Amino acid sequence: MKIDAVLKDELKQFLKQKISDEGRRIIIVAPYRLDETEIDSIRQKFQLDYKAQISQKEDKSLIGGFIIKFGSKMIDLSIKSELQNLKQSIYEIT
Amino acid sequence: MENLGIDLKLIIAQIINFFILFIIFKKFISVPFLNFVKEERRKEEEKNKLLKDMEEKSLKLDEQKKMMKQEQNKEMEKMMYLAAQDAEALRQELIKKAEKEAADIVAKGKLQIEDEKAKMDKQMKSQLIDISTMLVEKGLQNYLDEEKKRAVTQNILNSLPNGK
Repeated sequence: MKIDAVLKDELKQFLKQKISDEGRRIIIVAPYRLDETEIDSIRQKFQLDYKAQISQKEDKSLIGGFIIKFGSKMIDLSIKSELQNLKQSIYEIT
Repeated sequence: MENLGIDLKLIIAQIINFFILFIIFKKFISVPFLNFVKEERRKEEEKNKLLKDMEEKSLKLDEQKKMMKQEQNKEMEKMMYLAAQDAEALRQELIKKAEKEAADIVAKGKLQIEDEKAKMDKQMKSQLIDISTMLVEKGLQNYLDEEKKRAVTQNILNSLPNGK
């Protein structure tokens, strides 16, 4: 099936834009709603793009700390993940 | 002589008769008869000799038979002895084999028990770890209110170097 060159080009542009948008969108998952100070501290610490749109999600199962997702990357600083790591370490030791 | 009733001529004739008879007897009767008797005697002797030989042979055969029977008995005893030895050796071998198999089964059983024990141990430890982490999670969920959670977040941010 032959695709029109113009259509192909437009599709490419659209996908690039979408990926770029995804990269600019930042999701912070925390067990409670973070305030502006905390979000600013996070932006500073992780040198996040100020233009990027930050959205928050609440997940009480994290217990404490937070998770930052941007693009395909994820930084997990939650207590839940630390407990999981500890559990894994104990498994390995025993 | 005539008064005695003896007739001389008669006597002479009888004597001559006797001599003729004697000669005829000797020549034609006694010799063949004697020969016949000798022959009969010889046959009798032969018969007796044959009988004796046969008796001797019979005795010898009996002896041989006896000896053969004795040898046969000896051979049978020897074979019975060897068979008994073989049976004993086989019995010992079977006993050893059975003992070895029993020992193998016991060792295998022990290994299995050890394996099961190790598995159960591991399972128990795993469950213990799971329960412990669950308790810690629950404990923290209950203990950490919003203020403390903010403090945790602040601690995390403070502990991170700038520009991570």
